[in-house]
Amino acid sequence: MILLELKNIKKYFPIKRKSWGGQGAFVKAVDQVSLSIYPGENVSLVGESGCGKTTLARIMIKLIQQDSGSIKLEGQEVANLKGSKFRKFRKDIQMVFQDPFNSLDPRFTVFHILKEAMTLEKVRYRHFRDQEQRIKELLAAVDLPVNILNRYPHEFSGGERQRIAIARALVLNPKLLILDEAVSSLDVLIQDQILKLLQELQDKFQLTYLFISHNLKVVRRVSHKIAVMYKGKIVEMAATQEIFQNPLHPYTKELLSAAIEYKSVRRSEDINIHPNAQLVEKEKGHFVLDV
Amino acid sequence: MINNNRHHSQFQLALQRFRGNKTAMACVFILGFLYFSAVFAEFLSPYSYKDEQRQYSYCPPTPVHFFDQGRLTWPYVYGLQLSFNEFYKREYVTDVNTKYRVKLFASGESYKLLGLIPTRVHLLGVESPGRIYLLGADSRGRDIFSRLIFGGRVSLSIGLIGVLISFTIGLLIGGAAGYYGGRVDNYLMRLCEMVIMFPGFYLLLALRSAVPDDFNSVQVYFAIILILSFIGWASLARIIRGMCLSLREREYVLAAKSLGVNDFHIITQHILPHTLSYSIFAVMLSIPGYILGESALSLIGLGIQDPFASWGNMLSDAMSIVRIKFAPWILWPAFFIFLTVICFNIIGNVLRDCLDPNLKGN
Ligand SMILES: Nc1ncnc2c1ncn2[C@@H]1O[C@H](COP(=O)(O)OP(=O)(O)O)[C@@H](O)[C@H]1O
Ligand SMILES: [Mg+2]
Repeated sequence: MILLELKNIKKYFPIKRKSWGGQGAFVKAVDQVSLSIYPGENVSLVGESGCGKTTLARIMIKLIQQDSGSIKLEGQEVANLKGSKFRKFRKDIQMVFQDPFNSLDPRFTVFHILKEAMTLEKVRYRHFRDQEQRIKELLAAVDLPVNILNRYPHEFSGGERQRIAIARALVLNPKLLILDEAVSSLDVLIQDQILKLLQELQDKFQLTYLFISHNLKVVRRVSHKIAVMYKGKIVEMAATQEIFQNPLHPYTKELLSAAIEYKSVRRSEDINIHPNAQLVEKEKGHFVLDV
Repeated sequence: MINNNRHHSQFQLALQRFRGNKTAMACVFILGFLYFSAVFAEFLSPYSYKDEQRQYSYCPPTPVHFFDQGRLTWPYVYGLQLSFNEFYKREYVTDVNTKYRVKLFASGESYKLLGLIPTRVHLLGVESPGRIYLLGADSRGRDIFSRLIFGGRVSLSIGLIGVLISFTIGLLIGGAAGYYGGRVDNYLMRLCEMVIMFPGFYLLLALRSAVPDDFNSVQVYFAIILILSFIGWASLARIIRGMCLSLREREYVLAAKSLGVNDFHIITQHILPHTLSYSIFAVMLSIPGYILGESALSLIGLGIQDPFASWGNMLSDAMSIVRIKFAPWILWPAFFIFLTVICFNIIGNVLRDCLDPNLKGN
């Protein structure tokens, strides 16, 4: 069964109108994106900054509403979920945010941050003893000592904060964890540690990851499938090995050379996308945007 | 962070930094002292604000003597005799034969302390026919020192109550605009801009002239507060709106949403506390506006009416240069307005520096 299935997701943001009554212009943040995530199969969404990755992730966890398209979690359409079904959806998909210096409320201690994450499981974690036990379990899982519980976020380094954010996302036992540039702001050594930790956690908690990154190389080790995104569209999607060895779309090649030679992506204005372009299966499991 | 047993939130750290700033703390003490004396005005002032003694018109500050023929004694003041010199100018001649001892906890006019406890005790007084004018007297022979303390009650409280009202309006309107965004935001912000666009002082005059002129002093007092708040809420609303707009996009707000925390909890726990700690300094910086506004109204005679005292209407006496030359002590209210405004400004600015996370470096 497909864990999460996106079909033709579209989200245009209006940009400020030039004059009263003038036709509004739009940013095509996400444009007809379809993506399937299978249990245990880590997917990476890669593309340069501004191509719509974060917007897509926020649509997946229903922080913003898509203009059109459908989202199915384990076969169930999530558009009109209410009450306990919606709470279950919330529990099943969690997200670790991009900026570890911004994703933890500076006014809250670590204990409060983790306790707040139990909101949807109030009944289960009614007693302080249960809360404490769960929190200890999670801190151990992300390799943090227990004596940090009454500290505030500003007392931690970026890597430590990201561990706290991961622990928070795991409180509700999600099935899918979205990591939006979760390691991008960290230096290479810490990046490595966090990725290793994520691999351990995957086995321990039966998680599925959706990695979001602007750097192909960072996600290579941890992802099974890579989707390359460009200007709101997925331009190529294939198994990780396949993408690295046999990139088909010009933008993927661009991105690949940038990642390997540590240079920035060249101005890719010359790569044009035909308005009627569709994802077509060029080889088995290897999709490319083409007319 | 080496400190392992006590951990502080950023707000607590900001307060610690604030306490470390000597100038700001001095300002806090000065303001605390001023507000304290406004609360206990009846007790601290030797005379009532309307205690007139026409024969002491523009009496200069009374010197208090501690030595009698070279010997230290209980402080006393000499009696004064009003006379006119050859140019018919007023002169107060010291009468060295009459001495009046200064009394602590002297009994004077009766009043109710804090509006509750009836008593006659004043902190300072002088034996009775003598008068003590610590800072001189005004045109009707009223004690400027006492009137300053009573006037502080009006001038200082107008700032606080005014800011409370306009802050409430500003929080509601700015919060609604920032949180809902879109059309609500658009309309509310155009409204704010209209209010801000008017030149404040003329709006003040227009509104004041719309108030019936048979109001008693309490009604005038509240009318002034309302008028000042009406002008003041708009800029605060804009600040709050801007903060809510950016705060609702913070990742910890999004994280809370994705964890299923409800809107009410998010607003009260993650959004409003942040606007509050950051708008403290905005409040501090806007209080002087109310004090100056009241002073300006009272100065031109549209505010608090005689015999009631406010720093502004006391200054209206000082509108003639001749009088200032003749009795410079009538400028004392100006000094206290200046002092209060400066203190609020310094506290506001230091608070901003302390709360600004970009300066966290050291
Ligand atoms: N709330 C919004 N309003 C208007 N435009 C937005 C909004 N959020 C994102 N965008 C625009 O959508 C595009 C995609 O943004 P984003 O999803 O954040 O990209 P990425 O995460 O890949 O860097 C950008 O051009 C951005 O300016
Ligand atoms: Mg992003």
